[in-house]
Amino acid sequence: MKSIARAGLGLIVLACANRVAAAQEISALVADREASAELAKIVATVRQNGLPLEPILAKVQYAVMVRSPAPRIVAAAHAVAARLEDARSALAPQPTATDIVAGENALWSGVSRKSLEEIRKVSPNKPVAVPLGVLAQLVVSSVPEKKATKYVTDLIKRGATSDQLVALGNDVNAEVKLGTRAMDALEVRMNRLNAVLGVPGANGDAASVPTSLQSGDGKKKP
Amino acid sequence: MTDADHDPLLQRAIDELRQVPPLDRDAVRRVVSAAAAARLSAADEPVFVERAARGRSIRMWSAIGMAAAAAVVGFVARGQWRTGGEPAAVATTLAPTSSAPATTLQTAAASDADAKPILQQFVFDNARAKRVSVVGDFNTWNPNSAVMTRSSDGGLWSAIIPITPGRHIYGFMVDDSLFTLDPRAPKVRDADLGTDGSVVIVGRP
Repeated sequence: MKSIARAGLGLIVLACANRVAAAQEISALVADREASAELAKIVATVRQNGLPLEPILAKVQYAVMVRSPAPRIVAAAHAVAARLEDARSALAPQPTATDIVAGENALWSGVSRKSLEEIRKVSPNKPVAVPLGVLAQLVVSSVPEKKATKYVTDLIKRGATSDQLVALGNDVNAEVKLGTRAMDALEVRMNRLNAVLGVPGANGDAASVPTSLQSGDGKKKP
Repeated sequence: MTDADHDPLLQRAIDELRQVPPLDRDAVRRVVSAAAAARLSAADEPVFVERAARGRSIRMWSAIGMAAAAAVVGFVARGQWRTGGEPAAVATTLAPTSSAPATTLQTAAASDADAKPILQQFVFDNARAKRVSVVGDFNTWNPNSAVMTRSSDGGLWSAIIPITPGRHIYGFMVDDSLFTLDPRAPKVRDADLGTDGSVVIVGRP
């Protein structure tokens, strides 16, 4: 009993220390007192709401590193906080912290909340950090968001592995960097994935499958 | 049979060392008196303390000790232990910050095997640099978190670091002063701050 009480006390003190430390971290980073106070408020609110703090701290640290002016840092932190909240509700009911961070990152990259919801819909009980990351990168690479979302959701439905999704995103990136049009690069890569994953629509959702996927040798990955 | 049994020189040295030095009785008395005096400080004298009060005292001290220890752990875990309360550090003199928030995230997602960090290798080519580190949202842009190792020929820097699955923004900090993008990775614009970063997507096979 005594040891439980001691452990409890230790945890409370540790939690308080961490809270103070987070505020100190912010004030140590941002010299401007007003900005620092404002950032501390944002951090406190985000913490109260049970959202992950990492993206805010990372944003502030990055902003200081690239010498952004204080008001811009505060605005950026506000924006991150709002996106975290948005990501959590779009990925409801039980997103992990990693999912929320990935959702925030996707929203930051121009992916809409609706697309986040669609990804969650096809993957209700699995982590969505990787699909969201790939979707975000496709959108940044100039693939129209609707198409990108459709491709990614289809791949999830067909059981594409996280590694296959990552490879798709990275390969499209590499080809875009070499001058290929994003959509062309995506089509080629999707055809290859189609060959590995099997005939699209075999599980009864042919209507949702992009035309580019309707080819291949029908081999299914074990 | 040891080596010393065969070597007379070694045996002589051992015999010399085994001899007890002459005893200085005054010195012994001084040490014993000093030790006895030290034991008679109030904190070490339990005879005059009521048992109940002593119990409370011990509980109070252990609670304070626990609190202090927890506070120290909290600060150290966040990389916040600063000796002098230095003023804000900017860019090149950034105070090291820890990846404690990342730990929080990992804890929150610990039930999910797919959310566990994955080792990711970063490579950067710069023969003139003296120190290069990977900085990114995965280590809260802390230049001390992932310092790269120089290759034997001196031109190539590399680091392998654990990163949670997903899309991450990063770059390289060269000689603690120059933020550089990864020329091999796609670039992305940070709309919040108007700056660029490199992108990596990490996934589990």
